[in-house]
Amino acid sequence: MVPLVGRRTGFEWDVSHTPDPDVALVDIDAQAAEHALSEACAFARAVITVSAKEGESERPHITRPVRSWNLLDALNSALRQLGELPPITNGMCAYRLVRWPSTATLRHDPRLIRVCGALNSHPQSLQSITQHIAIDPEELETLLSLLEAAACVSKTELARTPTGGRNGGVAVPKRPKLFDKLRTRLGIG
Amino acid sequence: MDRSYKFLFTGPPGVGKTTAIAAISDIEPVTTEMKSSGELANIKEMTTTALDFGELKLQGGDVVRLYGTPGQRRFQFMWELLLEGALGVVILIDNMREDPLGDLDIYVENFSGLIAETGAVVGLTRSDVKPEPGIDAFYERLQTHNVMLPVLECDIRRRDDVSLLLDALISTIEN
Amino acid sequence: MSKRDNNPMAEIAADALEPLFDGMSGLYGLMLASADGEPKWARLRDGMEEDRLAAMASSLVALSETMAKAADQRLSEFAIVQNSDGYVVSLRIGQEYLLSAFARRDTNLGMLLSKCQSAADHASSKLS
Repeated sequence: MVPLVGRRTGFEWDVSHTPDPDVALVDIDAQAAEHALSEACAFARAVITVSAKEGESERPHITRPVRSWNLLDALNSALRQLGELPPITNGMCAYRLVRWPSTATLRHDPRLIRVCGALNSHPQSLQSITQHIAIDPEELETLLSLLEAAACVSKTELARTPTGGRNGGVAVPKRPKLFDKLRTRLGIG
Repeated sequence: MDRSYKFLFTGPPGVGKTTAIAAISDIEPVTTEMKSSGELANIKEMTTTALDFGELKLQGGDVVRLYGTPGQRRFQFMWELLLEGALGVVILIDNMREDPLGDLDIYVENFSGLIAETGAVVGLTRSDVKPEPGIDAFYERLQTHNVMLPVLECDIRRRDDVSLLLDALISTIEN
Repeated sequence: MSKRDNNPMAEIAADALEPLFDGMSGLYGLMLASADGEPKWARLRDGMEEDRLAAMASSLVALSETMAKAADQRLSEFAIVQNSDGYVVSLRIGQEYLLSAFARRDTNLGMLLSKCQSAADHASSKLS
């Protein structure tokens, strides 16, 4: 997550337990959360709460699971409140398929077939792709980087991309069963 | 009730449509071949003049039917008959032919309606023997048709390669 | 409409096939094509497209033979399409050619088949 955030923001982030961080992420479901929260509010420049439930205060909040885009949104929100650091770009990009990778590449990693299939008809954001195919967002990010390196996709920054819910929940629509059965039958499921 | 679905294999004469279907079909493909004449006779003795037919039986009783079209353009009426109800089309192009990009034009144009509604994949054969035109040239040509299709090098005798073509095709259709 | 290929082979075929029109008033079209659907010679009513019909004849015969095999029958003799206002009859001349005849419904089908077979045999001896 941290390198991902680093790539998105153009800053190098470091996880530590120092008493005066730039940003404190506080898990308010944990034991002694109240104490941790008050400490964070006293010493951190910005505080973001994390919980399994929706946030109730005006403080920036992330509902689990923590996705990189939710973290970025929360960072933007927190730092905007400070008014001191420039807002971090959302970091959302639209990926456009330029060409499919080679057969050899696809044989080596068949997940690329799903990703390219998702991008074949129109550009999509990372988040939107995860709503089409059941793939971990960080795996997807890696695959998209591979495709970009192979000049198979091009990337453009988006001004703002809907986060698809506070918890960034990934909804995978039901694929036609026929295709799953066909893949299984062909031994590529 | 068991359902059946249809995929189409098309491409110029001699490219290997019958062979590709045979590579993955659960049944011995049904063929409708007649003796070749003219220049085609120098390439192959027999040619499909109605259709090829193969089948994949899926779990639960559903069936995927694989239809191969005749290659010669004079059988365009069969292409029109066969594309009815197809879920997608595999366009096989032989890079050894005189004008593979011209061949691509023919099939993309003739199946443009089906491609717009469903999807297609281009299987490029024998590019290991004759590398030009390269894959980039095919993508450039597809751009002139305003369409993005997977262009994948393949050996249609290999089941894995034909399966990969179908996988790419259904990946574009399901999205 | 009449097509005579410059190919002498087609000339020979025309001599063997043209006489069919005599004594069969219902016959309005006759065509010789390669087995894979290329027209070689035709005498057809205006408006009939020989290129298309030649290809269709090839499809018809090929599919008919495949169907016959699937039905455990061998050695296809004719592919016959009977329509409300006519007949389409196609048969092989050897392995390389097809003969197709187009006739009105008032034509005697038995006579049509018999004469087509004779003409095909005659053409076969000249074409080989």
